[in-house]
Amino acid sequence: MRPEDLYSDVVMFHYKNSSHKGKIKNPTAEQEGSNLSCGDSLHLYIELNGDILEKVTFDGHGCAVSIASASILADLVEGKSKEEAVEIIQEFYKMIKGEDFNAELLGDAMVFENLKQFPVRVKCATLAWHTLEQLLK
Amino acid sequence: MSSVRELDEYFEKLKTDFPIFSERPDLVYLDNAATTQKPLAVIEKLKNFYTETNANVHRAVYRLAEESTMLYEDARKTVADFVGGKATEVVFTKGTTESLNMLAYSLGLSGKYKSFVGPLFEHHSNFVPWQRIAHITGLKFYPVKIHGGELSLEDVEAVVKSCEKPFIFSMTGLTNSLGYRPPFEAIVELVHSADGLFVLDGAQLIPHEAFDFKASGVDFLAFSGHKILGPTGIGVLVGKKELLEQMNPFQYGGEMIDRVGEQETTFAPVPHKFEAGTPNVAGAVGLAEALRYVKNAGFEKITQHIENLTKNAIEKLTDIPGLILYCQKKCHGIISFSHENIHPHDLAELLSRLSGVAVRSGHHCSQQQLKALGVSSLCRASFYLYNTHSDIDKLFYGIKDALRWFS
Repeated sequence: MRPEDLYSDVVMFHYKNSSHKGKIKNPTAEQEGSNLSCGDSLHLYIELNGDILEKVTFDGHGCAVSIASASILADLVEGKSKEEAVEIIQEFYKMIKGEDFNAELLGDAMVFENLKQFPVRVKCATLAWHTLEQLLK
Repeated sequence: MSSVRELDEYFEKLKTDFPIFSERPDLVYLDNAATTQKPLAVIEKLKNFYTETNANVHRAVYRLAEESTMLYEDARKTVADFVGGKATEVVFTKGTTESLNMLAYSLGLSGKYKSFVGPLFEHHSNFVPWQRIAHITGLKFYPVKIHGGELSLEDVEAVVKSCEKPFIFSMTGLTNSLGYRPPFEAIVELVHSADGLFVLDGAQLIPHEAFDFKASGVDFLAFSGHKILGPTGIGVLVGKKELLEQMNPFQYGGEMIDRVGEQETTFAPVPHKFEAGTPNVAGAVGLAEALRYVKNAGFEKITQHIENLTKNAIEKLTDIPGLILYCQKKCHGIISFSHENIHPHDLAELLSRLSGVAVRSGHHCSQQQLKALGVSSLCRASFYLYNTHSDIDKLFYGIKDALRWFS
């Protein structure tokens, strides 16, 4: 297990340069998510156009893994319908658990395929995903 | 007193007594506030107990049971001697948390006390049990505010003056998050003069400095075995005998009874009335061995060496641009820090993966303390006797290497 497996170029890019950081002024919906055990918290904002997630942003504080994962998630679901977003989230969970999953739906999120080597960081990588799932319910 | 270098060499030799460091030669273990590593003598003692002397205690009359009972009670005597108490004042528990819960339940449910007072920097184990018991019993709960990580005597005085009497005051002797040693000696007097009981959480203090229960005047002392080279699952509650005698048991069952009638039961004398069920005999025996090890190593030397390590670490880490140290006036063996460019989890992860340095990251079981500092997470390095100054160098360079990833 090398640090590169966790802090890959893709992760570091999303952590430092996410285009989804910040608030949406008048969001259709928003949701707070937190990992109490480590003190991380994330706030997700979405703007819906009909059923389509027109815009997805986040703010809050967290480690590189949780921030990069939030950015990757936002990239993936922007422009998708609510139903498609839920499907993407479910495929992500399957990948994290080591089950069969549809790789075509996950794009950059594939960087977390090896996360099982870092079991304590699973909750970092899934924070945004759980938060969006909550928001879409 | 020996020089910094002499002490470092002395403890570097002792480090070979700890098998984990030969199993993992690259390990730089700096999470001693969470738990300590075990010397071979303790590991052997556990093995020998199970291979040679294992039997239940205080029940049977056969030879083996007699021997195990003697070992168990000898362990109690060793613990008592170590902290300056009497054997009859020493209750074996499974750790600090159980010792404090025992007090919260027994004292809280007794109906004798009207309020609880304690600072906000406490570990959750010395905060949540009291808060919970206060909810259940209607005891008033008075948290004492903190300034950064420190306590002001004026604040304590004000709360102690105004709280409902009689009351219970419980506080740590050394904070696990910042290594701050509050002036508990002065507070003991203050509490006693205002009709209060003083409980000292010694989880961090007892491994770090010599302590005399009788001379200190505290009413109760709680600590864990595993933070002072002993096994996990064994801890201690020391209490003034007359107070223990007045208290109700915390748990009921075997060993703690005297006479069991159809409707009423009387209880065994202290300390056994607080030890329901089969105790952790091997753990107690292992703890006694750990305390002997610490004593033989020399407590003054240990205290001095850890002070030297702490001072060295503060000096080195201060040189890292952007690094924030959360030391109060003085840190004792525990240093919390963070860096503006990197989240504590990422820093701890990279310290481990790149340099083999084990530090804690998170809220250190002290959310109110972190809230007072205005942060949600910190890194913490904590030292014990087998750490050397080369470990501090590895921490220093490890942080620098980790920062390069996030530059």
